[in-house]
Amino acid sequence: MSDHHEPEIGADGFEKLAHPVSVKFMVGILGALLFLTFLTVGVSYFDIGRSGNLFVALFIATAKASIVALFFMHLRWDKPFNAVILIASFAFLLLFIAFVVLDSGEYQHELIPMDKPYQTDQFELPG
Amino acid sequence: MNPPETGTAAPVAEAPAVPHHYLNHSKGFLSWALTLDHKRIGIMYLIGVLSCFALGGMFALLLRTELWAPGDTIAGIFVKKGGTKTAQDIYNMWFTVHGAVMVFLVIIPGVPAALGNFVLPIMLGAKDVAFPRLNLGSFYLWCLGAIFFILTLFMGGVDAGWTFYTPYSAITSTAVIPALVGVFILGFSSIFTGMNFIVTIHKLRPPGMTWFRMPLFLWGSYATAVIQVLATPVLAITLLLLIMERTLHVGIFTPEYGGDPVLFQHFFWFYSHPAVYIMILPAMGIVSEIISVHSHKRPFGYQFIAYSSVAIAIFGFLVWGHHMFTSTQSPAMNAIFSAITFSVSIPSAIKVFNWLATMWGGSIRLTVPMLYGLSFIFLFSIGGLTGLYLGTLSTDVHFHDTYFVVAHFHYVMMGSALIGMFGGLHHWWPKMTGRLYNGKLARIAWAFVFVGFNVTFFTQFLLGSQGMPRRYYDYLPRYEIYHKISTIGSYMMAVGFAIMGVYLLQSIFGGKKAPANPWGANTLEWHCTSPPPHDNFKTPPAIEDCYDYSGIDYDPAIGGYTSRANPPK
Amino acid sequence: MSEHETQTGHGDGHAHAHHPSQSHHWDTMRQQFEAGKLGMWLFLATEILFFGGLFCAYFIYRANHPELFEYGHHALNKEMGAINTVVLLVSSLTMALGVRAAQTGNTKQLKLMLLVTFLCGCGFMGIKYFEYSAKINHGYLLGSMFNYSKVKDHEREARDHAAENAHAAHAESVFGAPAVPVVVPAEKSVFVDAARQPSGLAPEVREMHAEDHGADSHGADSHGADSHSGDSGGHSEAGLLPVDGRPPNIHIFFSIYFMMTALHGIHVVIGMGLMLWLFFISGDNRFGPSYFTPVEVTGLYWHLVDLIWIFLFPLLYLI
Repeated sequence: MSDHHEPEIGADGFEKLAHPVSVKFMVGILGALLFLTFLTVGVSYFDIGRSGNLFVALFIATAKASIVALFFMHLRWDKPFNAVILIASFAFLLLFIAFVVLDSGEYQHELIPMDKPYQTDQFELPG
Repeated sequence: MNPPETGTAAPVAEAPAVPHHYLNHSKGFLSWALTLDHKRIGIMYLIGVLSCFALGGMFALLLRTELWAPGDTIAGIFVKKGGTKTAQDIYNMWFTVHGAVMVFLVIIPGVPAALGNFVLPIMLGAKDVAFPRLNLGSFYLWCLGAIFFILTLFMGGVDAGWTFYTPYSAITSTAVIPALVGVFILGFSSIFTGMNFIVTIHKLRPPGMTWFRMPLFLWGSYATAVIQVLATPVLAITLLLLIMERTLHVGIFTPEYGGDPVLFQHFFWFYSHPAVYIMILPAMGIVSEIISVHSHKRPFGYQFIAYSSVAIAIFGFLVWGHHMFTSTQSPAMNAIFSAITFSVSIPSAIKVFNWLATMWGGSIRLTVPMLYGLSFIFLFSIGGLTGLYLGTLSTDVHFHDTYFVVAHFHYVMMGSALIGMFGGLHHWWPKMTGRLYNGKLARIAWAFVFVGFNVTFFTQFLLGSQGMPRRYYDYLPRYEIYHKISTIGSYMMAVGFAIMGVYLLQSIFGGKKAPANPWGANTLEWHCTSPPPHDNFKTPPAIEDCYDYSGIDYDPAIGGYTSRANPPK
Repeated sequence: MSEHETQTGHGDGHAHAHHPSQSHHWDTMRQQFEAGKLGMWLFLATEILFFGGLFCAYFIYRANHPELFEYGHHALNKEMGAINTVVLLVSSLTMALGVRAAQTGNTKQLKLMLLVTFLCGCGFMGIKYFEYSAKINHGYLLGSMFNYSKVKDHEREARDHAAENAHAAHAESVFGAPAVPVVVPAEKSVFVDAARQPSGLAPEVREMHAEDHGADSHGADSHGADSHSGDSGGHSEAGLLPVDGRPPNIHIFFSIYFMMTALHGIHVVIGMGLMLWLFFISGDNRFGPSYFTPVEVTGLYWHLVDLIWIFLFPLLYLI
């Protein structure tokens, strides 16, 4: 609350809260996003292993998401706490997914097929 | 929508006989139903929460009565001739309704939404919460969720347990979906309250109210709000998936459709373990206030108590797997979760020791709130320490799904969270209503509740350690004596709560007028009149050290305390 | 949404006048603006965790049963997904420009940008509609609505037989009667089990089946494609699942696909509603440098919807 700069007063006599970014810059950002979209589609045609494709796709998606958050969502110029919220939510999501995936080794490896009759001898119990 | 009557009210009234406050600010049903005043919303929440507490408590009494003796006791009465439901089914519905109502409708909204709404902005020195409309909206969401719960009762009840574990919850023929929709809606109510509190604390602190000048209750509420915002959405999606599982068999959680039930438990406990801290953290905040005020002494280790609230909130996200030690979770995960579980005891112990040190050398007055505060420390210690047995992998295998678990979480949920809430209710009752309650009756009620609680639930530790499984309708004769003692204890509690209802109602209609500051506290809510005025503060209050009791003097003429820094206006 | 009443009885010695959009409990417009933004960011955090549950389900099944995804993604149309990504990205730009127009007080441009964003949303949902209807036509639906007969031919006969059984069983079908799956002989296929599924299912299966015979052009279409793709083994004709190599429980892939995209689609529709709302309230130069909170927070919401799609697209379409 104490970290305010000198308020800039607008034409209507009130403080100006906005710091508009140039249109050119915004269009440039869209260009970057479109480029990354074509890149991720292009990469998907090459087989670089099961996890290879997944990681590349996730990496590009994260880059795109960061660009959207930083520039379209103004985090680049915003209070750092808003960025903290975004990062924290992703961190907690990662925590959730990581723990659950870590535990998934124990899950039944053979799914019980819903479209097939259930037969007890079809499945081995783990361990 | 918002009555801006500030301009019209002042000039007309000349020396009003009745001082202006939020209760007589405007009249009529709509002035309550459409109010944006956080105090009125808090009061409406309080009425709702206490009604639901009575409802859940009635089901608890039914459960205990059924367990009075082996075999059918009273559940059989509710069996319809020619119906498909047996007495056992009826019992299953009772404990499900008891659990779900108490958790989702009473404890989770109890302290933050009811007491927090009333107290938090005033304590902070703000005029209202950040988003008053959203606040009213979350109250109506709570009502809608409650309606769905009542609906399930009329749609044949639900018997999946409050945890809704798959596969059973996906295939039982009872009214699971309305209950899930109810919890889903309640979740959003809780999220919006949490959002509101975080923004309020960040953006509405008046100049001078720095983070480390905030009363400890606000720290507790802040930590709670963080959990509400980060954990509750996962519950929402879990319930949505479960609804999809039931209706369309999407195959995520139920083995029959190709899914995995352990995955459901991960999803569920990722929310529901942090939810335990949603329940307990604000109660801890209340106790921090009560212990300091009624010992008339600055809290020992203020910063430690404040940080430990945040630490508990964060640790709370890392321990959900300790509910799943026997659910074929992998051994590595069991070890990790067990280890982190023990680390939660560090911030919890920090709080307990700091409360004890706060009382050391203070001028302790055994007021009614203080009795509840002391009970909290005692019961929370038992609840916390028995949690260590359950966090240990080897002993948990023995105790899992026995009455030991039931006793443990009742010590934490009821003995701590609810006792803390009732402590806060008694602490702020004079502020909310402007009336004093009958101290003698209140002490008698407290004695019934405290003794009854221990008789009920300590016995259950013994039951559980001897192997009595939870959620069973029937039991072997060797457990009978314990069950009988436990049931007697529950009746004692019922008597205590009935007395409480009587003297609280009586105080509203004929209680003595409360002074602005009956306890000698120095947090901001005690600097405005009892009950507080509509806008909380006519002029921005002077923010000073809220735990400095040196400037607080007793004034026998008004029967309360006055502050030298903020003299009465 | 915001208050037009000028609060007079404030009396706390503020030198400046009150902005018409300032609520009584805020001291300054900046405080109100920052609070609104903080509140929206917190809401977005809850949205991320809300979707996160579905992402978690996705990753669990992707990690344990990658074959579901490798097989199932043949039914998805990469090109349509890519076009939709572009549409959403463009709408994000127009939204950002809309926020900029609000910040500079250019109401005309703001309205234009809101309209374009709204139309982009319509375009997105339109493409979604075509994608969904293709899947629905092929019986590639979520959960027990998935039409397995579209995938493998020899089950069709069994199903013919079973549909009659299911019809008979429908009369006595009980909602989730036995907790344990019934052991049935192998030749009687799943649709005997229709008896223990919600009563809505059995007729639906028959209906699909009937439509399948009636609208034969479609049936032939899929047959032809099936036999082709069976030979080639790998890539099938766009939008159709190959016959061979079907992993069990492929419906889980479609469950995840439909739930993720539908939840996202609901958010898009809500966002479009917000665009219209802003469009109608933005007259009279309401928004300007000192007050544009509603546009700003709606923009944040819209960008988050875009951000989630940025993850959904490669995870579902590009496998």
